[in-house]
Amino acid sequence: MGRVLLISLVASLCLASLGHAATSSKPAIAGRTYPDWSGVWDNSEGFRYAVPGSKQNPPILTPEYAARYKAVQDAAAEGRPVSDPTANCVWPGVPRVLVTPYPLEYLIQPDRVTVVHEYQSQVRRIWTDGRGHPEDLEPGFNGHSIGHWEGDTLVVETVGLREDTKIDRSGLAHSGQLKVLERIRLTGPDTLEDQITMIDPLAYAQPWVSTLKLTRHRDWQILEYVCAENNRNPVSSSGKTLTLDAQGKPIDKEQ
Amino acid sequence: MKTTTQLTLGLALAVFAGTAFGHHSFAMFDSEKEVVVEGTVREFQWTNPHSWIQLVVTEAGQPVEYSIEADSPNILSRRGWSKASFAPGDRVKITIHPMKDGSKGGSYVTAVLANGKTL
Repeated sequence: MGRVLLISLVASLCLASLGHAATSSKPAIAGRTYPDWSGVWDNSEGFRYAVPGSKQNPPILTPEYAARYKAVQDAAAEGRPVSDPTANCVWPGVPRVLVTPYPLEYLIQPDRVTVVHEYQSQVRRIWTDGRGHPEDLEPGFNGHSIGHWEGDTLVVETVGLREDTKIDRSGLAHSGQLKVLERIRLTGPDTLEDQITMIDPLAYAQPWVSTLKLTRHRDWQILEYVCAENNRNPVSSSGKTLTLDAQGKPIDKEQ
Repeated sequence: MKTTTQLTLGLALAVFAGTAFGHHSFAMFDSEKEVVVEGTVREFQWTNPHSWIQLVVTEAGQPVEYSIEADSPNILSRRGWSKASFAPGDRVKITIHPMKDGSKGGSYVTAVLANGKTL
């Protein structure tokens, strides 16, 4: 498929250069149509599908990561601090941004699909122009995403993910080897699914597959979300997520 | 047996009701407990990442201010809330999941507003 796309791309570039060489710098894939993913997609059910804590679809962890996760769960049960960097407005990263209960929109162009998440006003660029991943990839929160179309299904591969982000708010970890595969497609006039496969040989004993189901709202808009506007739940130096009063003083008995 | 079933159902609902919060862990709140606090709104912060209601409650004859954390304006506006949902001076009854450590705060569950409507 990648090869077909590349051939189409080269062909379209040639056509473009023949037609109006001086003005056209954007490669267009001739004759290609795309599915209608317009509108805003409600992801408020996201938590129910991809969070281990939901018990609906728990991953099978390797012994090392199972022990680490148990330690986090035990700490939470005993009321000890469990660090969640997103409480300090740090980006959740991929794949956690996919399961935040905030809507998103997809902007489809020939060379990319841009996903605009309302949560923390995140933007993901999925390159569909045939490029590969960079060799000297610096790990990031949202990593590097490349994709291609298989009919009307967008197939995405994301790598280069920082190992210090968590999969979800229960504190499930992943390693720097995490690779996230997505298959995004319409399942009805106003329903879409994102089948996510998380492959991480250090953390998960087998690929962990979870499917998000989103619902279209054509009358919704993506709203602003500025996490630093009034964050009254910062993380203390001991790692505890605090609760501040209206004057900015912690009301927690222990900090 | 019936009591057990109802308790289990209640717990399941409580857990589900808490899932809308997206920003951070809500471990500081007791999601299995619900408390009703009645008082006067001092301030309503219609802000990200969370909205807050500052509610002055009289306890043992003294005014005590509760910090009640609700969802973001993004999520709440789609459920019919607005920045005018609470106004200073409103007398309201708010059901919260209280802070586990007994501090004067909690996460919002539901409320009976000044006009008698439930939000």
